[in-house]
Amino acid sequence: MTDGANGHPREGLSEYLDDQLGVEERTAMDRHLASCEDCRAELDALRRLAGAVADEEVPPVPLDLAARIGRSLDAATIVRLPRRRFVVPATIAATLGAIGILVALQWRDGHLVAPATPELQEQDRAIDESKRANLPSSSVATEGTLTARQTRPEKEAVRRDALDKDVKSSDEPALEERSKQKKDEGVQGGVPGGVASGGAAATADDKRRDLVLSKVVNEAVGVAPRELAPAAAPTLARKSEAVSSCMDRWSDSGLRGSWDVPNVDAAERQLGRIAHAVSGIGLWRGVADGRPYVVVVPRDRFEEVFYALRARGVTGLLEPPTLAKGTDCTGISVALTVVAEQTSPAPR
Amino acid sequence: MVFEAVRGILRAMRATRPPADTPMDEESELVRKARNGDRRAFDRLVELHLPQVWATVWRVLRHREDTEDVVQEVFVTAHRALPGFRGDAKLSTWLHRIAVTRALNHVEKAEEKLRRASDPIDLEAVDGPRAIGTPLGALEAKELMRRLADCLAKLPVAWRAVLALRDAEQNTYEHIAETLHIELGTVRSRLARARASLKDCVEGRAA
Repeated sequence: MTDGANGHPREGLSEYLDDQLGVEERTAMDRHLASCEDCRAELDALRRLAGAVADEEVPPVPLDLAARIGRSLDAATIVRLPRRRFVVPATIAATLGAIGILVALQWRDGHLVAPATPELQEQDRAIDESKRANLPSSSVATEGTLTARQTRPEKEAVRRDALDKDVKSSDEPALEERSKQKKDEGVQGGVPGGVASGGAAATADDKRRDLVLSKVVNEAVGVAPRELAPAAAPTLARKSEAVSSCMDRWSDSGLRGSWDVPNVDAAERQLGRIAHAVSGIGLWRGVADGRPYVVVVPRDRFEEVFYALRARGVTGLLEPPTLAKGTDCTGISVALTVVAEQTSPAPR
Repeated sequence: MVFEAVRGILRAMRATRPPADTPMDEESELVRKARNGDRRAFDRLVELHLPQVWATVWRVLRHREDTEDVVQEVFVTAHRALPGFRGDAKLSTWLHRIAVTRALNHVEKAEEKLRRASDPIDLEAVDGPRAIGTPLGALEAKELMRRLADCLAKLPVAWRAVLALRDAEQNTYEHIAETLHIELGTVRSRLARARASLKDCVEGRAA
């Protein structure tokens, strides 16, 4: 029992109130209370206060909170199912991607070896003979050989077309429309994806954005990315282990985007999928003012998500900021505003 | 005195009864199904325990929108962790621990803990000069509750959590120590200081 000011056992009164004192201490306290009017008054006040704390009304549970919890759980479940389904295909795709990169490196260095079919071996022999006879090789090369030795710009064009298809098929028409608009306005890099700005003129920055966008978009819709480096395989496998880390510790990136959508549920699902595709988590906070959806993502995947959000039409995200030192995960706030469908096509 | 005793018994009953009067075997069955991935069963568990979790988180945070966020986190965490729930404790106890931990983490994350803990209780803001020195016993019930709400919001969150767990939820000191991961002696001292500070604040005296 600790004596407080003026010898009154103030701390002891709290324990006395809760019947936490031992027999001797309680007896001593009883004796003190019998002779100390101040402490009796203090005890009565503490008792009344404790009663008031117990009787204090708690605000009612918001009517839609259970539904919001359900949506958060949906967002978590949506990702888990495809993750299991696509682990093997993703691994295969990553392996094929690695092989593709090796082949591309060989081709770039001029060491591409054509498939050793008898027909091609025959063609190679003809080329060698024509070289020895100082004849132009194109005169003996067949159409099949030209296809096999497709030029680099052609390959890039094919890849860009494929990326275009991916984004269009997996995302909303709004993206296509915005890309077109940006292209018309001559804005470079506004929509990630030099996807829209096109071809051989794309800058290195555009290409980098293409890559990060395609990774996030493909993973978000459950499609194994075509162009992942071999290191992507362990990344995909890691997702299931790391899915909870962002729930425990995250800091605010300071980014505040806004998104006009006709269908909040669909938008929320999309944001949830993006978050979970990078082992993050989406926190649904409602559509009222100042209640943004928060996409919480690992810091090392922050840039991918930044561009993916911009690609979907989230405004206010100008450039990825330099993240301050802090937790392993960071949150991007996206305020959802419901607009009429005529002004903004629905996200799918 | 009899009235106080009866009220204490009623409080204790309210604190220990299963939420929403759900038979324990029904809840066990729901837990079993939810652990096997039955989402409807988990939704039902959310429905049953939401009021209790909401109240716990709100009492710690005393901020409606933060409470909404944290309650969502609690159930998402519980859903993810349910396969590891062995059933040694009651589900309500397990959820209660998650709720308190999440609420305190939330405050820490928002750096609000530091701010609130370092802010002295501003008596002028609570009730103005005319409130100075009003004994708690002299306050009418409505006025007492109004001042109580203001003063609770100004208490350091660590003290408020102990008060909520003890006075509002009637948990034992041992349970509070376990939930907050602190020593039993720390529970005693925090509770004593929290009560004394709260009383001084409500009465309009310097803490």
